[in-house]
Amino acid sequence: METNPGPKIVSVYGFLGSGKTTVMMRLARKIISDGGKAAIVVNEAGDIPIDGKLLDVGGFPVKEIFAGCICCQAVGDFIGALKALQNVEGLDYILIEPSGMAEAPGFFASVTRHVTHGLTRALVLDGPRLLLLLKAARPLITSQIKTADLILLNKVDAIDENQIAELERTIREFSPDVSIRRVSAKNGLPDDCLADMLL
Amino acid sequence: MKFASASGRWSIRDYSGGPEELMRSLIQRVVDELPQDALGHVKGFAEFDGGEVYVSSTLIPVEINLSTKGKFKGGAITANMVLVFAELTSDIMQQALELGKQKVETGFDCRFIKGSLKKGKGEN
Repeated sequence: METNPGPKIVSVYGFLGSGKTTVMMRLARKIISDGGKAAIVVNEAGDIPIDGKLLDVGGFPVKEIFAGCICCQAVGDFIGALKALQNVEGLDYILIEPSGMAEAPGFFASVTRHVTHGLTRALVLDGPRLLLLLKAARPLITSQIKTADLILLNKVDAIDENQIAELERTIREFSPDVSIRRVSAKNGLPDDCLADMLL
Repeated sequence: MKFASASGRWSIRDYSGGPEELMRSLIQRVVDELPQDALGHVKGFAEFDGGEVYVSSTLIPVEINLSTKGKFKGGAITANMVLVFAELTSDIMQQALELGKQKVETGFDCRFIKGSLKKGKGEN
C-alpha cells in the first residue's frame, strides 16, 4: 500500500505590493474548486495581519506569522507551522506567502530542510515597478529571480507590449530558462498558469 | 536594503458615510503624505457589522485597489492600516498615517479613536 507523501508546498513570493496575496487567493480557489484542500501560511510585516484577514474572510484557513521577516526572525514559528501542517490528514497543499522583504535564498534554505514532499517557488514580479526595483534593490530582486521555478510577471494590464518584452529580456539575463507568465492577477489567472504552480 | 513599518488602528465615530468611501479617502490621504518614489506598500482593512473592506496601494503607479465583502448596515467601523517601505523611517510613515487621518477627520467631520495594536513577534 502506498503511503501518502504529504501535502505539496507552493511558495508565492515577491516584493511588497507585487500581488502575492491576490495570486494566493486565486490559487487557493483553484485548489478548492478542483476538490482539494489547502492551508495557508502568511508572514506579514507590521503589527496588524491584514493579508491574513483578507485570506481568512475568503474562507481559507490561515496561520499568521507577522511583525518580522520569515527568513531572519520568525523562522522558528514558521518552521513549526510548516511541520505541523505537513502532518495534517487529508491536506493536499500548503501555500506559503513570505513577507515582501524576505531574502529568497535564506528563506528557501530554511524551508527545504523541512519539506517532505515537493516545493514550487512561484515569484510574482511587479511589472510597472520592476526596473525601478532592480535599480534600488538589485541584489534582493535578482536573487528572487534566480531562485524561481516559475515567474508571474504581474500587472501587465498597466504596461504596454514593448515594456513587457523589455522586462522579459531583463529577467532572462538572470534566469535564461525560467518559465515566465504574463498575468494581471487582479483580473484573474489562466487555469493553465495555476495548474503549473500546482505541479 | 532596510525596511521599516508603521501601523494604526482606530474606531471611527460620528461618521455618516460608508466604509468604502472612508478607506479610499484614508489611504489616498496617507499616500499623499509619502515620497512618491517610495518602494513598498500601504494596506488597510475596515471591519463593520455586515462585512469588511480591504484597500491597498503601492504608490507606483498611485492606484488604489479596493475590495468589499458584505454590506454595511450602519454602526461602528474599525479601520486598520499598515505601511511597509524600504529606505523610509517608521517616524515618516507614522507621520503620514497621522496627517492622513487628520485630513479625513476634518474632511468628513468625524473622529478617529485610537485602538490598541496586537504586539507581533520580532522586529522588522
